[in-house]
Amino acid sequence: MKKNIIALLLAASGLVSSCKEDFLDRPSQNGPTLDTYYTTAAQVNAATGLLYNTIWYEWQDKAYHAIGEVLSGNMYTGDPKYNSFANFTVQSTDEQVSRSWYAFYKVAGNATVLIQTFEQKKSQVADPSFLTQGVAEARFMRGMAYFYLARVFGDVPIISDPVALANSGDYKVPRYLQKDVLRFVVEDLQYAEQNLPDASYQAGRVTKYAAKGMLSKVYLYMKDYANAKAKAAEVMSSQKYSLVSDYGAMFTSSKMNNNPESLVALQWLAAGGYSIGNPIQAYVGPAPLLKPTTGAGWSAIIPSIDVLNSYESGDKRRRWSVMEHGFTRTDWTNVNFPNGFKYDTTWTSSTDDATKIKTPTRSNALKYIVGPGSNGENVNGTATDICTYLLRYADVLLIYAEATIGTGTSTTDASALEAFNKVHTRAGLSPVTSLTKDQVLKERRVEFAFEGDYWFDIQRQGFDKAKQMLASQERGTYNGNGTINSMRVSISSASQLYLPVPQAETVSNPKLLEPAIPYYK
Amino acid sequence: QEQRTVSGKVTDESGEALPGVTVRVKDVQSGTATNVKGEYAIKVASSGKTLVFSSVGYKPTEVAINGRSTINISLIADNKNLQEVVVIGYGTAKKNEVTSSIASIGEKDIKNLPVPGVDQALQGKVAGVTVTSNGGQPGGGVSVRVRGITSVNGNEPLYVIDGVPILSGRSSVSQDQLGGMAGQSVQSPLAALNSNDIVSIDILKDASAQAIYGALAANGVVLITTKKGKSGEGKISYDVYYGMQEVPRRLKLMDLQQYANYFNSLVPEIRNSGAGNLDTLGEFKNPKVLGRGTDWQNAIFQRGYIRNHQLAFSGGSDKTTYYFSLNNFEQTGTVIGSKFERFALRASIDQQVKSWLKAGVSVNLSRSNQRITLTDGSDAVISVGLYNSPASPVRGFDGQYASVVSIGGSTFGNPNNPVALAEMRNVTAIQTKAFGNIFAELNFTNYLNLRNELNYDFTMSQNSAFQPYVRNDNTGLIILSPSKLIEDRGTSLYWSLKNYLTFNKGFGKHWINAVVGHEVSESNYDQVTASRQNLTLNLQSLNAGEGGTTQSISGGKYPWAMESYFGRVNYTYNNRYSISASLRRDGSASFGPNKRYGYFPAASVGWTVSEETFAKKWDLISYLKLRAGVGAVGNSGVGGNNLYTTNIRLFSTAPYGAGGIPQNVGNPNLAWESVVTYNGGVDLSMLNKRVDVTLDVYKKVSTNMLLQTQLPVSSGLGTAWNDINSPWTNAGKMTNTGIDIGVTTYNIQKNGFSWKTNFVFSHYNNILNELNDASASIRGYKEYGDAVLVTNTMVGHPVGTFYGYVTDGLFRTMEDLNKDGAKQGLDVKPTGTWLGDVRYKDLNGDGVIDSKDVTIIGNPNPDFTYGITNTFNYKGFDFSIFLNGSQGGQILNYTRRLTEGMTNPYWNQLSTVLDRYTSTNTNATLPRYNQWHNNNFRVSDRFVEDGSFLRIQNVSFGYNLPKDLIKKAKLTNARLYVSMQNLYTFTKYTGYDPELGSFNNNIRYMNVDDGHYPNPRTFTIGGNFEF
Amino acid sequence: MKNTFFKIATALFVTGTIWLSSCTSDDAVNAVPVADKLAPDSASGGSVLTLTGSGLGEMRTIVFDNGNVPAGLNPAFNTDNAIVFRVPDTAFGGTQKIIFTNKYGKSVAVPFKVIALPIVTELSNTDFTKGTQVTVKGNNLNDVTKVFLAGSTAEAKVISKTKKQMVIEMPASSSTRSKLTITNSSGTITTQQELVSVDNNYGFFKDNFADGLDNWSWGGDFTASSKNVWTGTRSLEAAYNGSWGGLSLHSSAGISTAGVNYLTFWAKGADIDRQVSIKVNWATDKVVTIPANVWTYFKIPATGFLTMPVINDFVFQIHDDGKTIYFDNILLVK
Ligand SMILES: [Ca+2]
Ligand SMILES: [Ca+2]
Repeated sequence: MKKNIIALLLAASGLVSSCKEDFLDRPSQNGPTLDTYYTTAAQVNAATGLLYNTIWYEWQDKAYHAIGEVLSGNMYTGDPKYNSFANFTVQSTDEQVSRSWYAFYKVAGNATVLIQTFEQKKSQVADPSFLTQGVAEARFMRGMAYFYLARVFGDVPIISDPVALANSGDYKVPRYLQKDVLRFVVEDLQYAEQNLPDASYQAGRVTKYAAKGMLSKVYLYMKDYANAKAKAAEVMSSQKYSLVSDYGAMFTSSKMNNNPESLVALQWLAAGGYSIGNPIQAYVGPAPLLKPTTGAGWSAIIPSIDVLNSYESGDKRRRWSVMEHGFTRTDWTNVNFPNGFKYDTTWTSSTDDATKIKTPTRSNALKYIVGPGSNGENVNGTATDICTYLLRYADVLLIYAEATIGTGTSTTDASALEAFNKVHTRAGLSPVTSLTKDQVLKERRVEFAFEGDYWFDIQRQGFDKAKQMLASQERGTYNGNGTINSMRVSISSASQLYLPVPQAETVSNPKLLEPAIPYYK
Repeated sequence: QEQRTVSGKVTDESGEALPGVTVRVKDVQSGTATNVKGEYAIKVASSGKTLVFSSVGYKPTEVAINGRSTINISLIADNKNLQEVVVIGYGTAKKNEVTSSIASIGEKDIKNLPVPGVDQALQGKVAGVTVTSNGGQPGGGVSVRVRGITSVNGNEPLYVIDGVPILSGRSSVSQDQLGGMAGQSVQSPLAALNSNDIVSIDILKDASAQAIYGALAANGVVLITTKKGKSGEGKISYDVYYGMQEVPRRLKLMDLQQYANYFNSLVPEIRNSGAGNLDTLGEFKNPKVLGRGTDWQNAIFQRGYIRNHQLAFSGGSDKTTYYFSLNNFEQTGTVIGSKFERFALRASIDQQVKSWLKAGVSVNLSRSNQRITLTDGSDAVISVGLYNSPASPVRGFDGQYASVVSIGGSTFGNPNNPVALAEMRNVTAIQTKAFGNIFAELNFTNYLNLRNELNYDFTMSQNSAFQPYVRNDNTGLIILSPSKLIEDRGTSLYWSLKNYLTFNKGFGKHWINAVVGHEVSESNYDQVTASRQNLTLNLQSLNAGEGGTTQSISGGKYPWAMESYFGRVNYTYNNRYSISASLRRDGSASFGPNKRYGYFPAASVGWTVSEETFAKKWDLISYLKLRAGVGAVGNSGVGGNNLYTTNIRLFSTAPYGAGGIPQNVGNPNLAWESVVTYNGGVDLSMLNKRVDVTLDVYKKVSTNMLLQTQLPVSSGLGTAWNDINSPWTNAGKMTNTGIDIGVTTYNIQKNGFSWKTNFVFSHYNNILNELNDASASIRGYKEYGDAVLVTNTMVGHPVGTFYGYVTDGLFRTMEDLNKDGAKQGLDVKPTGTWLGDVRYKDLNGDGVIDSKDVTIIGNPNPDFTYGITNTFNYKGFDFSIFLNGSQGGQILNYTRRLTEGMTNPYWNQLSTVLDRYTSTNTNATLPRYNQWHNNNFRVSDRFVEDGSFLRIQNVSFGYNLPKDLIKKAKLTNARLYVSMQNLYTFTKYTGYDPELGSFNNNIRYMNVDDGHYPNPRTFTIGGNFEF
Repeated sequence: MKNTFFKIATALFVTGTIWLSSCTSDDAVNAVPVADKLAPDSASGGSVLTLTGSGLGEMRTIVFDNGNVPAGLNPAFNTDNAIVFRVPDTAFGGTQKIIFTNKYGKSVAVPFKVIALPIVTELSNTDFTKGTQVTVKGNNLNDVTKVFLAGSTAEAKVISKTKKQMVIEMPASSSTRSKLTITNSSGTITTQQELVSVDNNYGFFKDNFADGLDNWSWGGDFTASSKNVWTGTRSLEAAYNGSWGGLSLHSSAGISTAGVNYLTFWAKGADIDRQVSIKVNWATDKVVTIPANVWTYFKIPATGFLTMPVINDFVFQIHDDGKTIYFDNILLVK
């Protein structure tokens, strides 16, 4: 009997000791780790590829329009998610405030982690040039993100090493002066300018000239007109970019992605669905067009009466940018429009919902609407493929013209006029022979309408002029009988030119409520 | 050897036959057991002089044979519970030897309860265990908290069923993948287990008891013991009940008449603002002719049914015992579309192979199928049902779902029809599970044995979420779109191998019980998810979906392993002084090489004062024991895999193609969460054992919590799935202090009538002492994009506290308005801040109401919870009433933001809005109608309510049919009963149900009512039969 | 004793089981609907009606029996004692019965008078001379008996009529503008819309350029043409051949604007919508969009536009690329 017992004991312990020494080593089976990755150009390029995409999403999706367009009076919304942007009652708890804050810092954070990671990896590869290029692309995007932060929020924290911050245990970072934030942006863009290639290695990748173009824009905001003009001139003289003649297609077809006019653009992929595809048409587009195939088309943000009135007669950009009654597209078909979509504002009741729509301004924005997927465009629910332009050549031309005027009020400088007229005449308008700052501003409004930029144009005029510009705007809607239900806004403090820091952040870091301090000692 | 047979009958003190009593000859290991009639027959060798009779709950009795061949005896009931055997993990102990805090409940408290999972059966039964159902969804989640809140991470205890830890949860597909809100996806892990198979549940409450489970035990351990066969004649038992369920309370929404009046009264209110137009409607001109309109509550609620059948066979010879059972449980919920069904099978066989070797096997097979209706969200079924207009129909006359309806050119109703959402969306969670063990037990001597045990748990989950495309052909309006199917499959295989030696022997006045052992365990979880949309003909098949851009597929593998050594010594001197010490060393694959091993020690002492000679004279007190203990346990199962290193998240779909991006920032020094508990307790029996009291006080300190660093958003590192995740660290500290009291009184016991009262009281005080940063906090948000902050867990305060503005009444006069109106952040005018708007307090006194003026506005943690059970028995009748209460916890009635928000004339509201502020009702309780801004429904103390309640949780009445009657039907036992569950709730809470639990068991969302699925009231009728 | 308990318990169990297994039965009352009162007893399309009575629940259809016109019914507005619904715009005028039919096929009929005055939504052509056929679109036109030029005895002849549309032939008129008075079985109305007499107003172009105008146009060919005619024999074919081309008519004598209330014209666009600026004396300017491929009527108030006492220059300037646009009846309407 004893023998049996011993045998059993042995058997049991044998089972146990058969476990190997690395029994407790269970590395992830779902992906690589840092030790084994970022050793090839393909791996680095794919990682920097994300910097053009999903990390921008929380801003691209609604905040982009709420800030750039609703706040500026270019668009109207009755949606409680962002109507505070229409009537200047934006609060620190507003969804779009926290989403844009989150998105810009997410871009900056992702870029920074990649910058640090690539720098570490440089010693592990024979030829680190692809890592240097990765760093340059990441610094470009980080500069881009901080440029938005400086414009949307004014004075903001700058975090150049999040890992060090995590290890420090003290997360209370102060706000830094806006001018220092812009300087930080310039430094990033200058690094990018020096280290990026002349031409995109993949369509849409930023280049040396994209960096120059962005620098010219940042300098313009810094009122450094000489540098703004010089950088714009470098882009122009490079001959690498030109205006696209079909302005309308540029905004309604992903076939036009990364066209010769595009210097910087976010890249989207409908196939990726939520947060990877471009969401704009889902909430800007009209339901009769989009609902049957995508379930969306909420007309949540629509052109304002004021922006419609700002197109001078004969300006083709109105038709290229806005859907108004009678607008048709034969290649956009769905179950209710087998022969092509027609924008019909004669809606009277919900029984008309399928084919008609009567928005409060009787219009929908057309930019970034690619239709219901009937014409070969990839449409995946709310997601589409169309790129979002962050910098177009038209912008460089207008920056050049504006920078030429500089601190003056008008110019007849031939090169400035030429730059301006390229943009102006593309719209079917007659060339001008002299140019004022206000003309440039007006041109920028219609040229870049619904592209998320006009608010910053108003903002950089300073409080007095911004206040006057805003006060003159009609932000109301049409009543059922066509009369205007007027809405006017008035701002009372320069602080209203910037969004408040989200409450969620100030709750844990009261330093964000204190005055900003210098970043550069 | 010459043998003879002794036979006889064993009864209790009242003369009732006692089945299952072990009868053996003294000094002989094997024996027999009495049959159902209490009869036995045993062969006795000539050397046998004495028979030993033993049975749980009775004093072991030795009877000298003295040459008799018939011996009838009656056993004397033992001191009610003190001789009970308690399961303590890797062994058992007699209750009077236990020096730590362990609570037990028996079969009676579990049986016949009309709930899918046994977790709910613990409610109000055990001091120190707070159980709240997360909602009335059949099979839905249950929040079980052993002694407060241990961690900001998970808090659910470890369930160990017959030695098998249940490490795989049950969850369904989060419904936001179909569009809209996510709803609750964490479901009860125990719903897959047939609760009628359970014989007892023992809960290890303090670390001195838990430490033997080391790194798995931080949130407490619930040991579940299932039924085994007993030697004796075979037994067939059949248990059945049928029940009906309903929603106990309806909210007072406006009916169509009230709504029409309300709508009419809004016309001048809106027009007078100068910024809005609302036209009167002919239909509403004479509200009296209107009916009640659509009762959306009727449309989304239904009468639920519940049905349970269980058939079990058990029995055995003196060497073999067996138990087989079959169970079918079926429940339809009280919200349309929800249901739960389970088939379960259990088999266990124990065999005395040799006199020194016992072996056994148990198999539990179950398949549960749950259909989940989307609730808990502002656009989920209940919320939409609450604010949908009574003027909009559920369906058209053609039976098709209606969406919005146009009345005189105005649009009423919500585009999302909640009935369609509930009925057409098919979200199911099917879990197939096999678990159990195989063991061999070697007795070297009668005091030393070795147990080898192999545990296994194989779980397959088939989750599916389906939404068809639904369009009303008549109106052309789209009801649900797009069609989409998500299929999610997971398999997990867990096994563990344990070997432990048990030594159990007395030496004179010394008694030693010791265990040493080794355990290895491994689990592999594999998961794959695929989805497609635009399904041909709405077929619920991935094959029917379109390929290309709209499909997705993903998966993952999650290996895990652990190796442990453990030991425990219990030493008792002279039945008076006990000491217990244990130590466990765990090595876990969850951590990196730097911090792979953890040690978890514990010690406790006990002094049975009543055994002292000086105590023998005490009249009042018959039993008194003092206990004290301390122990440490750990927690590793949170956060994720491989957090100690920087992982690369691979992505396949991106504009520039597939690649990888850092998923997290690794922390190579990441280690265990640690929980240390100090416990002191008293066990007391008084008044001639008519009053039993158990009292424990404790302090539980959690440190080194696994926390993801809460970096500011501006760091760019975050916690969302596609963020580069900020590093996890061990940081923070949380303390729970509390008191658990259990009192049982035997009030009357005479003339066949008995009345027993059981009282259970639990109190804990939770404080978060530290996080990884003094200003860090853990925030809970609602709505898309985390738009609305609802809770903020901050250092120095309890977890889960509600966070928002403090109201200061309404602006009722122009004087008020002139004084404070401008502070509110809007212009003072009818479309800004105006008469009838809520006035908020400027807490920091800077003259502006803004984000600096938010503060703690409520605490969801109760001051105490309690349960009172009264049981009456008279002859064959039994009656019990069980009250369950919770006092002092607050509720954030988030739903009222919708139902009393008064922002949209086309939405229905609670009838309380009839007392809103208007120019003629300036003393109103509610603010004015306001469609112009959102200030009035900010998260504020306006929506915080007292969540105290006292609930008649269960009333049951049963009757045991007389034996002589049922004998004819060959029945040995038959009981019929009726019972009512959740019969009535005394509460001031204005929502459906003050028992809210935690949304997906998350401490960020305790007691937040966001269109919550109310717990049903259940009537059941059933029978227990034994053949 | 025990026996009694047993019986009671069993009885309890059995009744309980029955109670649990009983389901709510469909209350197929098959009640016959009874109508007490319909208020009001006459009304026009779109008006809300309330029928009170008993047994009115579960109503499925409401039909106005003149022409079997169904009315919409919201189930939420249907109780056993009342039905609230609207007179359909499509109901035919006159006394008739409204038939209410419930789920069980039981009906009740209630007398009602639909007031279906003629409704005019559109008149086309707006420009007339004697003999011009004008299509009147609207509702309740099937029983029209008389059509007059408002305020006169000049009667138009009804050529054809249906419920929604009627064609009339215009009489001679002495007015510059006229509304119509239309009579049907429910009564008489006067249209909001006006018809313009081509003969009695000055026209820059009717079937040809008015006398005394010099064609100072540029950037295109602008001629009277019979290719696309709105009324009469010819229209003005404006073949703009470049961006910003202009049809410019100059009157050295000047055309008086005294008493002129509107500038009206018909235009048919090219294959796409085109914007055109109307400039008068190079002083005032108005942009209109001329829809593609369809004749469209434009009526521009003189106020703020024809502010000058005499018109010397009248221009239609095209925006964008050149396209051919047709104009007809460019009138100064008094
Ligand atoms: Ca304040
Ligand atoms: Ca003509």
